[in-house]
Amino acid sequence: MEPHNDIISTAMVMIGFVIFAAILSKTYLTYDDNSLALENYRQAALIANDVAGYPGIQGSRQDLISADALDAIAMPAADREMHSEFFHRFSANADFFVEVRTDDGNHTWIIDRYETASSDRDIIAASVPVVIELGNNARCVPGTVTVRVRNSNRV
Amino acid sequence: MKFKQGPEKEVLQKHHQSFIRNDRAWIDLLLSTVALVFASIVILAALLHLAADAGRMDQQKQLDAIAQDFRSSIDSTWKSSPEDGGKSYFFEIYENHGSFGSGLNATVSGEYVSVSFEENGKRFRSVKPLTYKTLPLAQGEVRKELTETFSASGNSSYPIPASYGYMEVTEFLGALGTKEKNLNISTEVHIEKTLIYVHNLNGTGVKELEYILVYQ
Repeated sequence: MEPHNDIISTAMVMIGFVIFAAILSKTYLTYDDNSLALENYRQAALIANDVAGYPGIQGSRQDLISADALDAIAMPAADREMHSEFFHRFSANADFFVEVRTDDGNHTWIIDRYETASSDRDIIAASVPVVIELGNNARCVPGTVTVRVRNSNRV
Repeated sequence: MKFKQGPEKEVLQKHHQSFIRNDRAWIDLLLSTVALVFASIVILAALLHLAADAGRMDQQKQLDAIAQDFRSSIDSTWKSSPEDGGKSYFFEIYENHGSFGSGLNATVSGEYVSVSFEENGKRFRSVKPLTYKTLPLAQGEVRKELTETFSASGNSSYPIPASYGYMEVTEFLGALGTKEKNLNISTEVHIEKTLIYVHNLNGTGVKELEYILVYQ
């Protein structure tokens, strides 16, 4: 019986090693994905803060965002020059779009560089709270600026 | 006609028959020993391979971290004002304390930063895209290029004339940014924000174009 015991123990060592390698590989892949997500989140947060303070969409006060300005640059852009100025600061490799919405859900604006940009890739998002100034009656409502970075930075 | 077999051959035949007809598991023992040897070789080879791969992955992760740090340093300059005078970035800490020694290389262009390392003919590389418009040129070089092309340096005193147009200026600067610049990692890298002024097409007022400059 002794030689058979050797085969069984060897098979167990092999199976154990395969499981160990699989767990190690899965852990590494998860860590890699998470670190990439964190990296993209930092970029998204940086852009979100920048967009929230962008003078081009400021309302009557510095801390307000004008709904009229958002109407001009949101897709489809009514003011092409203003739209291109908004994206001029960003490198062509910064692949993202901005979603501005009021907390009550009544208004949503999508600002994207290209009208036909694909949205089927992984996306990392970061949001900042803002106050949006609606129309000429200067009614202010709370909302959020969300920047969604398309996850295509893996090189 | 029959030949009588020699005593040595008879002994060999007896041994052969007893080996085949044995009931003491000699064949099992031999096979299991061979299987053990093979399994040990496979496990040892896999472990060695895993150790080598882990080392390579670790170096790649370190390169990613360096590239990410450099990228963040450039991107965060956007919030600063041109009057702040910019900041300096040092690769020295990675050269002195990392596992790369003097084999570390860094480049920057208008669109991305790249950090690479070469060891035993194998090249590891990490590339990170930049968030904001960047030029791998010093302030003086940018102003010289603008003066040669648009007859104005683009500073607040000499804005670029309206006849050239905003798009023409941005395209020209975009083309300047495509050239990759090698950085000397032993010396500091200067990062600063600059403004380029362009007259509006209707001639009233000026438009500011913001850029980050990275140079040594």
